[in-house]
Amino acid sequence: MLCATNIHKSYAAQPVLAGVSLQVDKGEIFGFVGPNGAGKTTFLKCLLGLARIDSGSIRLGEIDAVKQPLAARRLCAYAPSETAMYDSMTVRAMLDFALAFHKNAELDRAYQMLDSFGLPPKRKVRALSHGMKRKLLLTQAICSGTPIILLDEPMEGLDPDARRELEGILQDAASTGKTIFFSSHDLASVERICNRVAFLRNGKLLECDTVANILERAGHTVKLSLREPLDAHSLPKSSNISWVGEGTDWQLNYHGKLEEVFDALYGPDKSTETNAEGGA
Amino acid sequence: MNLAWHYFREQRFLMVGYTMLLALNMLAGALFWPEMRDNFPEMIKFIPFEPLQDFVRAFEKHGYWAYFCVQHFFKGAGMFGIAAAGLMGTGIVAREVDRRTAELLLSRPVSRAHILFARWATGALMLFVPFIVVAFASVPLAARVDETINLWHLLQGTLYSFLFVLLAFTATTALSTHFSHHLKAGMLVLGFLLMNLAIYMIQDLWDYSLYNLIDLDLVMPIADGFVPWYEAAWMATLTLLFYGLALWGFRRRDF
Repeated sequence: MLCATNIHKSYAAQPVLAGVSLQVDKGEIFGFVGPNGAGKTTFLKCLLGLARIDSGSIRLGEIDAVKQPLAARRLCAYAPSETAMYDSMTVRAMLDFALAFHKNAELDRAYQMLDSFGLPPKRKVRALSHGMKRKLLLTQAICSGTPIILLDEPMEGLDPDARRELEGILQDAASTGKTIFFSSHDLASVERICNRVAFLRNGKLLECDTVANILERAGHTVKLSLREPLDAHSLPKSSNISWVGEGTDWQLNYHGKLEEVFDALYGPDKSTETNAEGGA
Repeated sequence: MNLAWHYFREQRFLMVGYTMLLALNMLAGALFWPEMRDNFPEMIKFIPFEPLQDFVRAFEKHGYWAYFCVQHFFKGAGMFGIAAAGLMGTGIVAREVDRRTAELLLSRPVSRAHILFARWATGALMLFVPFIVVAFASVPLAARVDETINLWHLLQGTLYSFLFVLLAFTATTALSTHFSHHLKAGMLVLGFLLMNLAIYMIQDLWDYSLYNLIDLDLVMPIADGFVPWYEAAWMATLTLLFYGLALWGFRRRDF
């Protein structure tokens, strides 16, 4: 549904995207993760034709998005990371304006979403909080009736309940065949709802795979509180582990499954008191 | 239609202000005319600049039509019209970038050429409608001070002098597509036109001022059947050129 090949983009001779290639299938929820300045927003802008790529190709469905940006935009809905909108408009007028350009916009559903998000339709946009503006932007994107939904930092500014609600909405949308591509810093949300995820850093794609596979390959950390102090020499060693700490407080960095690491080090019966705060 | 309505909504207060300025200018001008008509020699003594003295001499010689040309075509178009054009033109692209709404607007499935034309055409209409309405409203106003204005000459003069406003509006639009701060683009155009107005006030330099395009020497002879086609063609050509520049800049720009 979305295929970007070897995308290069630079601003004032400063490369922002350096050979990014990825493919997103129909009905997939795809997470695009990276630190600030990695090039996530620029990539989204390139998909929409808001920024012109230096080289590479982008296909959205059957359409060459570089040669036919307008046709490509007809397939896409977009919620930018910037929550700036037309302040003098009411919520309802803003929504109507944003959706008027989409032939298949789901207006009734959009009004229902406003209601479920708790957005007063007659309130001026300028009177909305940052999180409410975010919800309004997401509503117009999700209800645009397009097969592809592009969201830039959709979780930013949302409270945990709203995040969960949005996750549910995105999963519902994907189950109807819509393709959802979103950039995010919120790894927990990415992990919960994405089929696949890509990591971008300094304009280069570091990894692109299913969330499960990436977590499997990623290193983990476990904090250990031992009953008796140990020095570094007496700790077990293995090629897939490393130790950081001293005395009774140690941090075990490992690859693979934790049980397998412990079994290999101590055998199945060895008792160790752990205080695990693991993560990729 | 959505784009045009949206732009109209954004600029409507500016349009109201512009209309009121034009109307007040005409009203005050018409009400002051009887006093002026009877005191030309005294008035000239108090006017410091030669070009302005020439205006008053023209009023004395050619009557109300000359006075109307200065009030509506020179002041109305050349000052209020230009100011409104500068402010409206910057709203077309630069203000969208400035307040960070450009991404939202340009991500809609509509071409940049369409966005530009819808906004430019709406802006041009918002400048034109008050200008022509006030022009024709001044016909009954002239009758109140025992003067007459020929409707055909009025229409020709209004269309001609509006070309000057349209040129400024299109030039601002072109700048707006390149700038990220709308005030910078507006100030640049207004600064340039103010400089031209200043040059117009200096006797040795006034031939080089753009304000010659709406000078009495050009608009007043319309009443005698001399339409300044050559200047009109130049202004129309420059307007097209600036529109082309605006389109080119807007299409090429990354947002």
